[in-house]
Amino acid sequence: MKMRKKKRVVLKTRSAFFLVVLLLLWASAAEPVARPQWVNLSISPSAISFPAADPDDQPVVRASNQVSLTISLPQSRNWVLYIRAEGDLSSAQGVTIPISNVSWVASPKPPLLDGILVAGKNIQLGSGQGRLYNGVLTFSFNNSWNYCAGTYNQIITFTATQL
Amino acid sequence: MKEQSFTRLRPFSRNKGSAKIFLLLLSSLFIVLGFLPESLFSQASDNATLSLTAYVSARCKIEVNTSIISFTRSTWTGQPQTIAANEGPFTLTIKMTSNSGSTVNVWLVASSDLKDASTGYTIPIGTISWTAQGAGFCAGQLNNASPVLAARLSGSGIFKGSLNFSFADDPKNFAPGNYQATVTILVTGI
Repeated sequence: MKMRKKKRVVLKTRSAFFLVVLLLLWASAAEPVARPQWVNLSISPSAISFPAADPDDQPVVRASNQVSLTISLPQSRNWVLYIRAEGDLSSAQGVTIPISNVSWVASPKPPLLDGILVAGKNIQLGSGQGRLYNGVLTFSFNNSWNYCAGTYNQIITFTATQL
Repeated sequence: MKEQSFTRLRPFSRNKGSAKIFLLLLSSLFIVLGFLPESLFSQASDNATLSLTAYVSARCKIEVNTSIISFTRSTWTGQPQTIAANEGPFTLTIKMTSNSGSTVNVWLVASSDLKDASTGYTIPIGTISWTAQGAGFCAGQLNNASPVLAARLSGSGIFKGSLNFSFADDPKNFAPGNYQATVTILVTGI
């Protein structure tokens, strides 16, 4: 009888132990489901331009359009946003204008930041918590007599990461 | 013997404290594992691209420090003499954005000889000449038959030159009077 009782106690202990283990496993597996990992970044428009202007009259040329920016992600999650110019402004003839002549003014501040583009380098455009619905970027271009006449292009990449 | 083998099957029964610690450690491990994916492995990111285009058009602007240059015969020697402009050096600034590889020429174009409107007397425009300072700028002599080169410039930027005009006076041939002519600055090759 004593042996049987001890066996039952052992079985109960083991069962409780495995139950706890199973519960913990479920909890650890269920955690990401309860707090999903996703982020959506939206930019509009997808292209902007700087019109030609007299450098004396307009030493700084504003882009034709402002850029609207939204970040969607699970509420209360943290995010960081980077902006990266893939290179200098370049024309079909191979003439370049340093991309550092392009800057932006951001709104709202915070979480967004103003800045100047750097070729091939990620620059932090902002960081915050929760969704961003009303981000606006106004890009400007430093005009100069020293540029060669032409049409110059470059691609800017935005990367939003949920932390 | 049976009891001994049974004892081997229950390692925690001898020391309840050890069993609790073991369970606590195990629980902590699973809790940590439960949070690790969020902090290390589950960063989500999204990209968007923006296309930038900057338009730079060819253009040119001419700036001068004065729009009038005058010469005064203040002494009478009866001999030919060179008279410098009353206004001093004429500063000519060419601001230009040119096409890649282009060469830009700056010309002075005289419309006519110097003429006194009251008497109708004239003085050849070729009596006015200049020396130049500044990269790309060159000396010359006015001519009403064809433009005269004042500068040859390449590339884009702001180019400054200084022209010192003078009048070759010949008192025996040029009657006193108020003679005038218009000179146009012409930029070509932008």
